[in-house]
Amino acid sequence: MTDTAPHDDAPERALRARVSDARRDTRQRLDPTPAPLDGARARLQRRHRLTAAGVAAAVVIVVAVAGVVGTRSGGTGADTVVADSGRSQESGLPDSPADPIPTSAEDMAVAGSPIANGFSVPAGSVLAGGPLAFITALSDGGAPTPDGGWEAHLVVPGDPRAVLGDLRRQARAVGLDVRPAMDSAVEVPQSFCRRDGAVYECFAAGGSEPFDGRYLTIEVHRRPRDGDIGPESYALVTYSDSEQQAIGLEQFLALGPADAPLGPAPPPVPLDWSALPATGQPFAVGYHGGELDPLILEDGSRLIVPTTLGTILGCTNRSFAALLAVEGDGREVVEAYAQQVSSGPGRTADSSLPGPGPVTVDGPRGSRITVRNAMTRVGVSFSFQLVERSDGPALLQITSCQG
Amino acid sequence: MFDHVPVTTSDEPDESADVHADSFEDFYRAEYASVVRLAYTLTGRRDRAEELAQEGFLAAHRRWAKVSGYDDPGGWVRRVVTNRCISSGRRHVTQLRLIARLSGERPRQPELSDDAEELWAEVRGLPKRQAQVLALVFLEDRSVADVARILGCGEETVRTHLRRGRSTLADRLSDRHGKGPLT
Repeated sequence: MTDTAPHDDAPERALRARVSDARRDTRQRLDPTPAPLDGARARLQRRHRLTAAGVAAAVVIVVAVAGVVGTRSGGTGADTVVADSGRSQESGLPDSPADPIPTSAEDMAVAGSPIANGFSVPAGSVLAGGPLAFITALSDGGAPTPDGGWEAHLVVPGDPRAVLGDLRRQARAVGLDVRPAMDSAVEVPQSFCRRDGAVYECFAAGGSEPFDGRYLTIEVHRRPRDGDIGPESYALVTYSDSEQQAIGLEQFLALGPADAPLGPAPPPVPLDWSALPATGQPFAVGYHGGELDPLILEDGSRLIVPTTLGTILGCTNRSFAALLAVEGDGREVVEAYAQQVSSGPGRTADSSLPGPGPVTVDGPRGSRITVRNAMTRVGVSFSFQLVERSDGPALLQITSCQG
Repeated sequence: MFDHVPVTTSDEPDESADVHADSFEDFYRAEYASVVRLAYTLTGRRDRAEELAQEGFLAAHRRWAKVSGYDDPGGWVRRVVTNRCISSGRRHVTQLRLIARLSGERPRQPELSDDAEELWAEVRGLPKRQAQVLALVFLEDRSVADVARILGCGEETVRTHLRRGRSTLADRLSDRHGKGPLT
């Protein structure tokens, strides 16, 4: 460590002593025996299957956009479009652009609508709400730092390859080199998209060259219903504009060749969607192996899109993500959901684990962002991110993460 | 020779993995504990540290024909593991750390002495690259050149992260324990 010697002042000397003691203590007390690798292999294979099964994101967005029309399902507080055969639930009204995927139509933005940083909603998709602040970094003061990054959740009723292709073109236009991507511990991808029966996944990522902190990831997931867990057909786009955020994204990714093929054709979009739940009805049913009861839709909130399995970027283990619009006092709604998490069977909050929050910080474009977390005894953590905006209803993203 | 640590190769087509199995097992046995310790400093959880270490060694096993030819296969595993340490659970881990820090609660049973736990917790609280650099330097006494090679970045970048991380740590620990000696 000769070339790392610090200035010789009291705090630095004390730090050196602490480091020396900590190193010795760690080596003495932490001396694990090598374990069979089969367990790790099984975990990775299970995770990869989940990924291929549509593991996708914990994400995002909202912004009421004119020109998107849906049918009203009375009494739910949500304008919900449901189509089980490619048509809207009630006749005589225009189909939703997300058809047949059920969405809260008033909260959707059609293809071509602006997102941010030169990106717009790609062909073949509909934006759920608007971009959410991408919070991964922490300032030295301990507060969440939104920086300028964002996440966008896109419903994909069209061809996922068209969505990916359009986003790649947009990325190139702003100087981002987007390549096929994969978890670095799994393999180096040779195509953007993969298909396993009715399960379909595309994953791409890349940054600016020379690197200036801008980094984009694109996940597209389509998979059929799996028991209580509903089908999925959506994309998650994550944009960072700071080195710290980008490192958090790219560190675990292996990127394939830039000229890799898009990959196989996708299966058709699933048709067996359930209607978005009404107030008082359960959602997030069937996740975490049934160990946890589903959440109940609180008054003043509505699901914007169907709940999804957690994304590659959201959590490496089984999880779910839900995106809601919130009218009224968003923080009261967050607390109501946090109470559900801390009081339901299997969800009793462990007081020895982090909590309770919430923490509120300023976000981009005059928004306020509140983060609330909870951990359960069964090892599932919940995160609530509320984005209060001046130009629309607040957005609430609920994500869970196992382990 | 390594019967109590079986390494399965059946689902991997890479025949060279079998050819080099003995050398991999020696490598695994020799490096496992130190890699777990490194992962522990970056995650604060022994169970997770062991999982991540195993995943790193599994990745090495899959590419053993290539990795075994590197000058420092252990450095390659450390790169994989340190990267996964700061990415798994991503958003959740980050936010839970935030709340833990703000609430001042300890989220788990400590494995080490209080002083060691406190130091590694402060390292984990640094920006991720700084935390990786400091973990490798503090725990393994790695040189700047070593760290640069392991993390795949320039030596000057490592020096910058190291300088900033050390300064932040020294200030935080000094503030916490008073301006006098920290021990």
